[in-house]
Amino acid sequence: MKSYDEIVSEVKELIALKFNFPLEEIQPSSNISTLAKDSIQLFELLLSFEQYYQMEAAYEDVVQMHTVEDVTKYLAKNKYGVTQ
Amino acid sequence: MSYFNDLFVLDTFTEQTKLFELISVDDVLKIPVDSFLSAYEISLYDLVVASKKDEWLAGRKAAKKCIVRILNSHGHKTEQKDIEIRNDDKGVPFFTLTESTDSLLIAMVNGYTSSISHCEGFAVASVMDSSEGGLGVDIEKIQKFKTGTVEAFMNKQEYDEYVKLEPLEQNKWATVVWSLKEAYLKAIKQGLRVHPKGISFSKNTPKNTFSHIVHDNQKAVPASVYCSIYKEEFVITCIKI
Repeated sequence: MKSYDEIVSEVKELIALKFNFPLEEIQPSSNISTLAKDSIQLFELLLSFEQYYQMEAAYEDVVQMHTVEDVTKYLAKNKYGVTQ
Repeated sequence: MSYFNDLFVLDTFTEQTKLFELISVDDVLKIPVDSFLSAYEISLYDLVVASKKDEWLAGRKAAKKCIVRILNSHGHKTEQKDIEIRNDDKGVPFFTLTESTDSLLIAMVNGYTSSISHCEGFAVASVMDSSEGGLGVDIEKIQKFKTGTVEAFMNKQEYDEYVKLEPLEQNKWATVVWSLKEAYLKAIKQGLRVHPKGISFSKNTPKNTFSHIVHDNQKAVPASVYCSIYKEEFVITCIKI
């Protein structure tokens, strides 16, 4: 079972990797679409959430969210059953 | 590219088009910010992340050029600085006037909607009367997409065409398809909330226009589309629905 903090790190690392963005600059309050260079990057991130977490609903759920924290809470709860 | 050519014919970009304004970041950076941004916009500009500041500025400048041109054509002499661009809760830009008590002019300015896009040193913007429908513009650099990404956003017909092409043509085709979908998603104010794979385009009637766009098997939407290759490097799309 992963801890909430481990999931936070995982989400931040995935965003840093997909956006080629400095990991240390990604905060829980960061707006994901602001971090993305363009909509293609954003789309690829949504796909990677779907693939990495093997959750088919991830795209349509995550696309409604704004911040890194929103996505982390969603994945923690729906993938791992973990709350903050 | 038979399907590609059946669908529409790409034009060589023409500077004469009045559909949108295309501005280079280099040109905008030569202009003092306070000559075209209001005090409120300058405060917004200060909050934009460093990597996007210049293109954000170019986008604002392009949209203001559009609206001022429209207002001037209606006999209203207006300065870019007096028009403020704000975003609604879906991120769609709209206009307000900062220094006017002319209620007719205020109503007119408020009635226009805009769409802005920027990419690698350029910005495009278009403006139209919001009562006429939705508007979406997009500029994309022609690029190589990851195979998984292409499979994810193209429908079967688009992908079948893509795999038949030579690599350089594949890049162009994929960028065009993405740009068309991105512009359409802006026009319907949904962004990526609607999955791009579900969007399809029907055959054109006049040159460079689609008769209809369909997403997720919903009713077809009549659309007017301009799609062009700029400097062999960028795809620029403007869709009105």
